[in-house]
Amino acid sequence: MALLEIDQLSVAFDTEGDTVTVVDRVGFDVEAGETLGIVGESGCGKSVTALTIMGLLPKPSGRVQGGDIRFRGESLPNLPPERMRDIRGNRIAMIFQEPMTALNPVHRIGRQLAETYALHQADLPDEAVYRRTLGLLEQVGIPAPEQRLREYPHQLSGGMRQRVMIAIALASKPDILIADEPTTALDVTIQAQILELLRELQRETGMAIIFITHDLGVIAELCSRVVVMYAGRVAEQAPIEQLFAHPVHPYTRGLLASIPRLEDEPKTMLTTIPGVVPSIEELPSGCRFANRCPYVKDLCNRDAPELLAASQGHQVACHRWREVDAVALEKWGS
Amino acid sequence: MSTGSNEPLLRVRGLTKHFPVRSGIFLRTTGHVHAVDDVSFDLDIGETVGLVGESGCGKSTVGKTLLRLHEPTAGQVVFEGRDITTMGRKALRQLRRDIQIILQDPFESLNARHTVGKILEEPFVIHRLGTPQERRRWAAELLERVGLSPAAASRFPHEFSGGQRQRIGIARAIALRPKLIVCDEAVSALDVSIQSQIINLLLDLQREMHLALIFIAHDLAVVKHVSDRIAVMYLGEVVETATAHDIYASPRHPYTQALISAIPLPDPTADRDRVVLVGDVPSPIHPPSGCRFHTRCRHARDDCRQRKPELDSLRDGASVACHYWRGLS
Repeated sequence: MALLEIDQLSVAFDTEGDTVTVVDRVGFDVEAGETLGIVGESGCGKSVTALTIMGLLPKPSGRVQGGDIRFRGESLPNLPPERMRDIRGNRIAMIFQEPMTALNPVHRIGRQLAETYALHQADLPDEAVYRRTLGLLEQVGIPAPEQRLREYPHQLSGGMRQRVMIAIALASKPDILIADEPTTALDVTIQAQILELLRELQRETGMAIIFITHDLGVIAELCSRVVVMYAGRVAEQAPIEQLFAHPVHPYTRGLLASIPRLEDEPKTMLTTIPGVVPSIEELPSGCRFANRCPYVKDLCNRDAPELLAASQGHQVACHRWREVDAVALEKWGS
Repeated sequence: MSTGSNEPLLRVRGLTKHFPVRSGIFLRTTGHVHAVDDVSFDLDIGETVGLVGESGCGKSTVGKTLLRLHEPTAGQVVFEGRDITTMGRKALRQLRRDIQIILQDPFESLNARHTVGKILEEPFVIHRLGTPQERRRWAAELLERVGLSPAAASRFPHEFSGGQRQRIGIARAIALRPKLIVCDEAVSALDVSIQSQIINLLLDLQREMHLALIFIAHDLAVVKHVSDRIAVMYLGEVVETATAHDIYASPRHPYTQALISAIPLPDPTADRDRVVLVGDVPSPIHPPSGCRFHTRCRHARDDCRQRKPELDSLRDGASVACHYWRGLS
């Protein structure tokens, strides 16, 4: 049994007189201690999936429509709120893109860190809480931690704020850390520091990380496995080397080909994926990538492809991946 | 950055912009943000110069200051032989036909209640060009040129996705057939699959219209892809310039080296020595003495804390501002 199992999960939002399914039968497992990447473009459902795992869907508009989320075998969507609160925070923690929105601007850093202990370990004496918060700030590489504990969030840089958020998330020694675009708002040299920190912390604590991002570079650097999402569905999932060396879904192929790369010759035309993602109100009944896919056939417009095994540990949701793969092999010889 | 002996399209010399910091109840000026300090470069017809660096390095301020959207504190900006920094209001308005700017979200600055058609006709109205019928036709042609349906003219900005909005922003920017466009993080907010479409559109338009571009972005891979030459900025100053190819192949300044090595590569088999810069970018209100990068530079010596390195021109046309770059690579 995997640590976390996402099983045919569907999430719907009620809009004015309508229900839209933004996450559609998504499935993947997270093993203890691994780093799983979820990659996709805006609106692909990656963040909604994360919020659903955390039980943080906006109510009453958002709800789990079908499927299940199991943590150590325990089904999360129907847990009583107290039990879910215990899991969220103690067992599964989350960090976000903009820590400023998650930190309280009028409280000192020290108080916000101590609060997590008050919530989850109320019997801890003050002196012990202080020592632990200090230790946490040291652990996440914040210089002069005694001074930082007395400061307010706005006095810290973006990178330091994200370190504080990570410290808060680590306070309860979670089994899983969900990181939703935690470095997207940061400069690239600061991003490198935070990625390094996450790697180190994982080595120390053995926690699993679900890393959500639009950046395939970050995925390649940090993750051991990756789930590619498109328009609310899983398009492909594979071990990291496999996905980059041999992607089989036409969307993944297109995505990898359209990234500007440092080794490219300047001012050459990039490969593109034509068109745009279908809007959530007008999702096609067949494959959701069909309107942009160079290999589309009638079947693709008619039936949604199931996520099926392509090889060991590698799954793809495409009717035509075998044919496409054969053509690509012939064409590129790789 | 011009190659011939002719006057370049744009010549920037010693461009400086300091913003006053006011505090206290009388809002007295208590310091200055050194946003841009002594920036110089040339730009030829049809050429792209990329400005790259992290937040607070001054790259966007350079773009806005040379359009006089900010008043420069010092320096010269000469466009086709005329100094922009001393131009009167009327000359400036004429200049805006020749120099345009594209922002990250072009609709932040536009009236959301106007149709796309009206937005695209506006530049012609302001400059009193064409009849209403002609303007409508031109707007439709512009939409087609950037890959949108002419039917888009009757719709409103909020009905479009980010990529489509940026196409509309580009259509508006090229309406008066400018000679230079400043692209300020123009593709930064777009998803990868859309970003590549917009980059190709810009490359295409540049070739067709002989446009010069100043391409400002924090993503070095993107900047490298569209630029002929690149200037790397740190804390308001240019620390290195080189061709787009050379800046990646053989970066000279330790900051450029660190910047490149920090970029995550979409290749899990990539094996490289990473230079992780420690600490944060210092405050531009009190920039460090000597070389501004010395607080984060692993090669810094005593000298670097006191003596400011000049941007030295090298034989290959590149330049670098570091006392010790020769001993580094």
